[in-house]
Amino acid sequence: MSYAPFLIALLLHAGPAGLTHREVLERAKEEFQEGIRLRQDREQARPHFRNAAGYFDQLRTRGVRNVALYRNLGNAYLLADDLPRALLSYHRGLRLAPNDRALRESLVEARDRVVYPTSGDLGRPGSNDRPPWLPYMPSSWLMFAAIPCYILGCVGLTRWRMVRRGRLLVAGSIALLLTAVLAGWLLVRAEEQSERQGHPLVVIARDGVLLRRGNGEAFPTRYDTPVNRGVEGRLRFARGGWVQIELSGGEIGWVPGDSVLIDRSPSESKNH
Amino acid sequence: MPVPRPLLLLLMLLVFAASVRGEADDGTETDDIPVVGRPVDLPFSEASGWFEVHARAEPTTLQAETALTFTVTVRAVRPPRRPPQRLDLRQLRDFAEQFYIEDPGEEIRRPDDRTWEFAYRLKPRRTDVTAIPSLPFVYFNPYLLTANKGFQVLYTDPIPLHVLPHETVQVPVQAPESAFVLATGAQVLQRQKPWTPPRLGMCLALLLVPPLGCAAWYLLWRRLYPDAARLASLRRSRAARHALRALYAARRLDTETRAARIVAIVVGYLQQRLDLTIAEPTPREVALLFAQHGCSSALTEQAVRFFEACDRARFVPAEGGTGVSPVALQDSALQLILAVEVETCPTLHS
Repeated sequence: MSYAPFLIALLLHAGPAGLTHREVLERAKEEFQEGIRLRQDREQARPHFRNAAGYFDQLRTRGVRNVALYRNLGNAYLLADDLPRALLSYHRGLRLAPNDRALRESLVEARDRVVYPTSGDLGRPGSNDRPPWLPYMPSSWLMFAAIPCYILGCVGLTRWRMVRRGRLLVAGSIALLLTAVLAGWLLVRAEEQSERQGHPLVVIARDGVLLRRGNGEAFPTRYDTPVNRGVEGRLRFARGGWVQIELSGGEIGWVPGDSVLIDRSPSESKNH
Repeated sequence: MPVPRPLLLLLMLLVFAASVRGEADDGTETDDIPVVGRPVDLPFSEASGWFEVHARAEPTTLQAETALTFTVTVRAVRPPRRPPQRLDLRQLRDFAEQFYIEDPGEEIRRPDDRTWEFAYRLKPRRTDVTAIPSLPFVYFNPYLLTANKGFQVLYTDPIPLHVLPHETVQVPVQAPESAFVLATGAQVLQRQKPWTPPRLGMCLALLLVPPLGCAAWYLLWRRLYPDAARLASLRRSRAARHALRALYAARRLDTETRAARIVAIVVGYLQQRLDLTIAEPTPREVALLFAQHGCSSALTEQAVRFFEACDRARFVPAEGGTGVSPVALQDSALQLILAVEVETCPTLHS
């Protein structure tokens, strides 16, 4: 889907660089509301949702990043039938707020729209065995829990050293044990985050993309089945305009760089 | 009468010409169509003869991307030598650019022996298509005597069209209701950052500050409360720790029972610490025990006084005024244990 006409119109019409954040937000809201008004006719509604997504994205490139913005952005892209960008926005929002139920539901809804191959599980995300009622403990919470536990453990053991009361020894030991558990959990999270930064999320941006064995059309395909837009994976390497990706099921292959959206870090993705 | 020779030759020539003419009229003659002189930029119909061409379209008012039937009628004015073939309109740029051309695969209609009808299905690509352009029909006319003008091109008249915008069926946007909800307010303009692990310096600070603070607290506490520190050290002695804990627990007992219990606790302590073997020692026996262990006279005196107080508390009635209160007895026991620990453990002197 080409956004060039839309972007040109946006630049000519609004010149968003000259608008304040609030004005850009207002325009996004107006376009979104207009899309809702015309929702009975998707051919008419989609351009408005696309425009709204463009304005929201303009805010994002200016450095505004929060859960509400990513939810709006994802919804606008979803309603504009731009599934890959919707998925990317939901993922970005969930990175800020892993417990946001609306974002999780929207992500599930968007994934349901991805057309996976009828035979095999190529590109299909693995089943999530985590119970939906189990809250995802944010890393900052783990950190804020570990620090008092550590302090309490140190204080408890010191006080036990002073008065030799057994209860203090038990309490201090439990607090330090809890600290160790939380610290281990945090280390795992930090490792996951490092992995995400090293291998950012990749979403296939168009239908019928074939995974190849090398970075060029001359290389044979790794799988005969193409993957469609919305299929998620992780970036492994980039070379000569091609990227090597690893799909959710572990399948690896090269695809053209312009056939994927890459969730780079904020500083890298300003111009993306 | 003999026929003159020149006249005979003329008659033979006429008969030959007539026979040739007759073969051409009944269509059985098959003249080859020359290759030279064919128009190179137009499709050739393969027809040979003398033709006229007409075209019609039905309907002429229609929506974009809907089909109309375009019929080309070729009629032979004179007996044809070769019939016309179906033209491929996709080779004509004007047609290909303005219409989707479908081949209905129909047979060529023959209303009569000299007429051919070719039907095409055309779909206007856009609403700005205003007419079906002229169709060039190229054929070879053998009746013309000038061979270099044998290939003729007939153009049909353009057929005006009125193309309407395509009627679309409204399809609603399919999405869950939650997708139509827009988050508003100042929260949309906030700048949040995802959690990042603290840097190495911060990690070291978080790791070292609490134990260092606690160490400082401990040293300060020892300096401010030396007795409490000494008591804490005493608790390291297993016997003293048990005795002190038992004394603490004995507070709940009644007066008479408590005195006996305190004596039992101190005796038990001395059994472990100074190897006392007597279950109910007298003050004299206690003094002997302390002397055997080289304890100071002050400590020995303190122990003797404690056991004498115990005897009074256990055997002298309280109404007499000479009784010892359980609280005082308990305090004396505590002091005695502390004094014994200090004298028997040299490190505690500090």
